[in-house]
Amino acid sequence: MRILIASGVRHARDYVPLLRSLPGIEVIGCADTADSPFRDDSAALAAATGIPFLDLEQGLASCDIALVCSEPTRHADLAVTALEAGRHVIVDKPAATTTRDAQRLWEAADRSRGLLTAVHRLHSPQIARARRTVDSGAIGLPLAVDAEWLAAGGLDGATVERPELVCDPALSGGGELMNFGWYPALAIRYLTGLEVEEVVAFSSAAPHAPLFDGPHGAYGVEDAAVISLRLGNGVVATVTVARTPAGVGPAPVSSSLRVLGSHGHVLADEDAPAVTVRTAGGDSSAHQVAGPAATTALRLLFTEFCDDIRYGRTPLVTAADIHAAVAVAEAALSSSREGGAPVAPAVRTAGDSGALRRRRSAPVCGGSSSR
Amino acid sequence: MNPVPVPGAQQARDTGQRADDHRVAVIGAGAIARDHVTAIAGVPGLRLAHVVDRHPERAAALAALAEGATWSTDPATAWSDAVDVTAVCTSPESHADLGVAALRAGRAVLLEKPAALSVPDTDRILAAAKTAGRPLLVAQTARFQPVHLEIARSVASGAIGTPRLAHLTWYTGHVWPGGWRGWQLDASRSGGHVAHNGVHALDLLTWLMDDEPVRVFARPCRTWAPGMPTPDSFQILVRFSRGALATIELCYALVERGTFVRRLMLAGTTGTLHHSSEDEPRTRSASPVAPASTEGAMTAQTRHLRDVLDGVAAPLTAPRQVRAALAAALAAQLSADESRPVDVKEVC
Ligand SMILES: NC(=O)c1ccc[n+]([C@@H]2O[C@H](COP(=O)([O-])OP(=O)(O)OC[C@H]3O[C@@H](n4cnc5c(N)ncnc54)[C@H](O)[C@@H]3O)[C@@H](O)[C@H]2O)c1
Repeated sequence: MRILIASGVRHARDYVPLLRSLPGIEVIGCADTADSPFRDDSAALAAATGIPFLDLEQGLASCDIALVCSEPTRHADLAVTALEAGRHVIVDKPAATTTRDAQRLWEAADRSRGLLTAVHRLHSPQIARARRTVDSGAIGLPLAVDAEWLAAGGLDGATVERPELVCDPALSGGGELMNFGWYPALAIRYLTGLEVEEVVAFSSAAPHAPLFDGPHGAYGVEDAAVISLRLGNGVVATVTVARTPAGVGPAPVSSSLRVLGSHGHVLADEDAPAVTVRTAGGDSSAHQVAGPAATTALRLLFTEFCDDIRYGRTPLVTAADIHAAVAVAEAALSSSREGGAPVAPAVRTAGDSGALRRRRSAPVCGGSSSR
Repeated sequence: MNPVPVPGAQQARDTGQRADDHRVAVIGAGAIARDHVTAIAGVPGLRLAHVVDRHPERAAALAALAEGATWSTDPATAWSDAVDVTAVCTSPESHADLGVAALRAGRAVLLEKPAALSVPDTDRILAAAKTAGRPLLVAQTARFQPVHLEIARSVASGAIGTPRLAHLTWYTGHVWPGGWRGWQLDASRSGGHVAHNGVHALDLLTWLMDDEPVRVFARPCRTWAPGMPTPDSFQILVRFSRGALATIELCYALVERGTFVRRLMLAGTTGTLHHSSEDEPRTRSASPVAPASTEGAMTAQTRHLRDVLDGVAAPLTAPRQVRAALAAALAAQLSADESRPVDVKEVC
């Protein structure tokens, strides 16, 4: 599979070496639009990783998969362009920053012969295991999910090369709620198979002050949010997302999930299981069993998507799932702007009938279709 | 083997009663009263003197556990001259009146949570304690769980700077006794579950964050039976006066009775504190054993009560915290009932 990096900001730095380590995958280059505000970043990525820097059209013409890795507010545009060129597309997270964009993406995916998916953590071993546990019936019907996603600092350049990519709404679509809300929204959907019906959120976005001493305040976006969800069938969930100075686990981003069922519960911690190592010098470090969950999740995402293409399978995260996750983040942003007023996430408005036909098989992550 | 004599060991082992023991009267001889009586027996300097319940057989059965303890069905005997401290252990609807009566009679009061079912009633109790000049300790027992005492010490030592974000998850396998008759299911007696047990979590965070909740949103979840008049489980989102945020998740859905999953993440301006009961060495047995992080809270609370009565400690539950936590819990109950966020001042 020939993969094109369509705009190379943010996570592209991590994706390129990982992709190159995978058998059967070739990174053919990095491309960007002529008017991209991050054209220089894309060129720099190409130079740093030793791949060609291409025109977008040229790149799209010669790839199988476009990995859209721009600033979040341009994800949908680039992905739609790639889908319209008939390419398969992986969009970095969050795949879109508004449900308007998510719907455009969905419609483009419906029209395209290319497959669409987005970066997610559902292949993370602990989340996959929790899903297997739910599917086995061992915990009965899931009734409540409690999810926490915390980043440790990082906006000083340590993990995010440009803080404005997370903080400037014109580039990011929001603060940490937009940046991280995506992951738990998808995970909760994946584990319960239910639509979110109502969202309530309190955040530290303006007019409130950020909780911690980061760049968020200058842009008026949140560095933390607490969210309450009501899903179908009376199921409930909470989401706690934040960029905190110290984080909570050994990884730059730590997440944990608790699923309470009618007949049991399952706990997932992406940092666990781990082996701790203590040196005579007094240092201690945690070595995650089978490697960091973030890397495992990405590796599986890339290889599974290649297989989806090759064997005509539906990807784990589809346009419908993307729309649903974006709708939750969007509803949370709007609820938090209104002091926590309950907000119903947007649903796809009636489009062409082909879209609705496709939907039957679409929401593999969230919907009730068997897998 | 000759044991090395430990100074004071003899005294510590001596549980015999003394003339200057603080005499405790318990009113409400139910489940929690039994725990108090067990703890009192283990803390020298305290003595169960009297038990009151509207059911004579319950009062008598509990009094029988302590040598010399008397019992009655007359509430006024719980604050007679033969008593130094009244432990109010009835169901919540009578807490305010009983607490005020005992304080007015000049007794110190250990008041079970929730302190009252309204903010004006809470104010009445706090005013009565102030006027009487007698100590009032509200049984926010969660504060005395070893892990929370440790977290409080860490926060006080500046380990994480100023706490700004909390995520508290308390799951337990516990179904209230009494079938559909239990007072817990009757909001007019319990205040509703979000109020009467939410107050534990809200009090803990009010204390640890040294701040007061100003806005809450609570969402109920009925895991035992869809028709429950009050939910067994719920979540609360909290905004504090200085902007800090919290997610509270209280769930009674664990299948195995007596089991716990407890987790607290507290992120501060310079660090994060985290505890999970899943990280502790745990005992697996036919009847579940509570995690070490929560063990012994009642005894620690009772020892603290003794210290308060001895005049060497101030009640850990400061009046402003009692009021702030209860007001937040009542606001959360209103939020759950009406499915909307509620400003705490709405219930004040
Ligand atoms: N601090 C904690 O951790 C904790 C734990 C459990 C319960 N509690 C609290 O303790 C209180 C009692 O709970 P419980 O589980 O023991 O209930 P319970 O029903 O087992 O016991 C209550 C007892 O009070 C008696 N009673 C009620 N009203 C009375 C009145 N006006 N006069 C005399 N007797 C009266 C009842 O007959 C009953 O025997 C509640 O407020 C509850 O919230 C606190």
